[in-house]
Amino acid sequence: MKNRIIAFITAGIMALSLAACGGSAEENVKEEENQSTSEESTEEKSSNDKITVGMSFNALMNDVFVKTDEYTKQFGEESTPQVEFIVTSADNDVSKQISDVKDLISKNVDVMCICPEDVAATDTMIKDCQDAGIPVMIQNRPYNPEGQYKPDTFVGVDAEDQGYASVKSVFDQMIEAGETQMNLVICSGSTSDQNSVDRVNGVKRAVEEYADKGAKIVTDLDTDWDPDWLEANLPSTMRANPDANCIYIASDFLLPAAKAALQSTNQWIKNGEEGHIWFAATDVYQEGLDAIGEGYVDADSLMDIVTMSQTIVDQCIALANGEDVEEINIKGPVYTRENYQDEELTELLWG
Amino acid sequence: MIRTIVSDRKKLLDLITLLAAVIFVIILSAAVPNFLSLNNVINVLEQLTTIGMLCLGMTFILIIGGIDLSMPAVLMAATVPGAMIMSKTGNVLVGVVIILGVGIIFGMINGIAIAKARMIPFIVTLSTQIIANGFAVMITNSKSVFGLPDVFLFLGIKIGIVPISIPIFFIIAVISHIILAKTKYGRIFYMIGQNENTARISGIRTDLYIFCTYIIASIYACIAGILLAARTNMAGATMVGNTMLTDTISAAVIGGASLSGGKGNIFGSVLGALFITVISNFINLMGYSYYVGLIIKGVLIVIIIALDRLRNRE
Repeated sequence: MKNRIIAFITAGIMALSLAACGGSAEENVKEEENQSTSEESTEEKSSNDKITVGMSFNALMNDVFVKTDEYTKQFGEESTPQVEFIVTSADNDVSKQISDVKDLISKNVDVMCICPEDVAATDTMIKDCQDAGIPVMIQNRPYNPEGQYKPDTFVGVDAEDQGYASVKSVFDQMIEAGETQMNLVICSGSTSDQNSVDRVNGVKRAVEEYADKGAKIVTDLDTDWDPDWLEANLPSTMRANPDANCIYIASDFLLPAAKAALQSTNQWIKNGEEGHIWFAATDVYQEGLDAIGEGYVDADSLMDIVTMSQTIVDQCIALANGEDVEEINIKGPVYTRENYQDEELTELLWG
Repeated sequence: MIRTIVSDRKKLLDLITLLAAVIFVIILSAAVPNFLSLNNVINVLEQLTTIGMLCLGMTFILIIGGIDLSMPAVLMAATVPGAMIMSKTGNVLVGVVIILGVGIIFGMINGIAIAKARMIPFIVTLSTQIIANGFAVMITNSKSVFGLPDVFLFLGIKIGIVPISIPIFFIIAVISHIILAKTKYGRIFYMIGQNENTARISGIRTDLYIFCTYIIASIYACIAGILLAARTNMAGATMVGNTMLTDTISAAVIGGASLSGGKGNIFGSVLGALFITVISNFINLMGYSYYVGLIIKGVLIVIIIALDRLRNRE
């Protein structure tokens, strides 16, 4: 038992030293600011006050979320008034995310910004924030539309449009090249990822729109975001469906696996050469951009995190000032061989 | 009375441990803004209920010399079908019975494989974890269940400012403590953990006790699932994450349980779970970056467990 006593005391001392290091003068200043701010009415709040935003991510193990974290912090520092983000990550754990949000409420943040792990759990988190009088924004992943509580705003990318725009661009290119049949193999992400589901819904909308021009879905492979699974199963799918002449992947994250699979069936062929499989993708990672330049990928739609992050910062400021804001779904551009080197589009790249 | 307490070395050490924990809390409250605010204290205690409940079950398992890696997965696998039934029919009783039933089945699978087939607990419960995770994803098709009946959500409401789950947790912790510390069955658990062969030769049906312990652990996981679902008004395959398992085992070990069996107590485990919860709360309140937070948490856990082992070696 003594060991535990020593351990607790050591941990306490360590926590104290960490607090001393981490808190520093800036923390003390902030605390004083908070105290004085609480005494002021909202109306009296100076426009030069720093706004504190609690940012609860579902996880920070993915490029999309890591980059959103980086860009929001960067834009927050550059904005007037400055926006400081206090970030937590729930490690894909709903119960932890709910706890994280409560911790941030205890921190007296001005605005809460949540990227939810699970759509079904947003109700609880929104209620907790609103009970504490904190305006809440859901970002990137949708909130529960059937929930009892609605957030003050939503900022996200239009995932449905990403799938739609990418496939539509490829269909247009195919028609221009004289193709009369557009037999599509969809490589979707995960049914638990709403963005992935929305992307595939967008793809299906494009197929319906081009059905009279020969577009149809051959099969929909649910990869569960597992590149190994795709690499193992795409070759047999292509052999079983020799008439398949175009592919959609729900993220460039799956591109190396799709490339390896098509190489194994000798179908990784450049545009303009005999046997080319038309290729639509989403996210525009470096691999995707390279493949567009080399002629293997024909269209790649961007998840515009840069614009989304800037919008998050702008809306956080507006919410902190008590303004009403509208929900925003940001549409990303489509990169093709014709435009992928445009300076305007290059600036939006984050992957 | 003080003389009586002082004369009992174990009680004295428990008292000093509690005192040390209080000092630790005072240090944190001085360092972390809002740490001792009423809202944050309630918040921490509410967070404690899930990990604490799993930790109670894990304590039983560790005392008999086993380990159960499937507890968080069983929590999800058992809660999801019960929540689906409740959501569709509104029948809370049937839903709760299904939750407990599914949990007990997973506990029985673990118990039979370990106690009867003499398989290694680590491998068995790792396999059960995979099965339970797969089961939870399969029946929900990765879509979480929400819209649970109001009667069930009563378990997640607050009386005044205190969530009901907090007194429920502490009542169950007290009952668990009485079972382990004050009953014959509790002593048998310790005996099996210290030396299973000796216990068997002494006439104890060790296989039966080990079998029952895994069922008990699953029931704790089910109760944790019920309280969590009531608190969040949802159930799904992401209710708890990968870190919940390591947090649970860490909490039990910090609380004095030994991975080699025969040691541990409920008081220590609750304290260990509280410590893990407080660390997470501390990291969030201090606003450390996610990665720094992970390092701090890992380092603190390692320090405590290392000191524990060093002390035992001495």
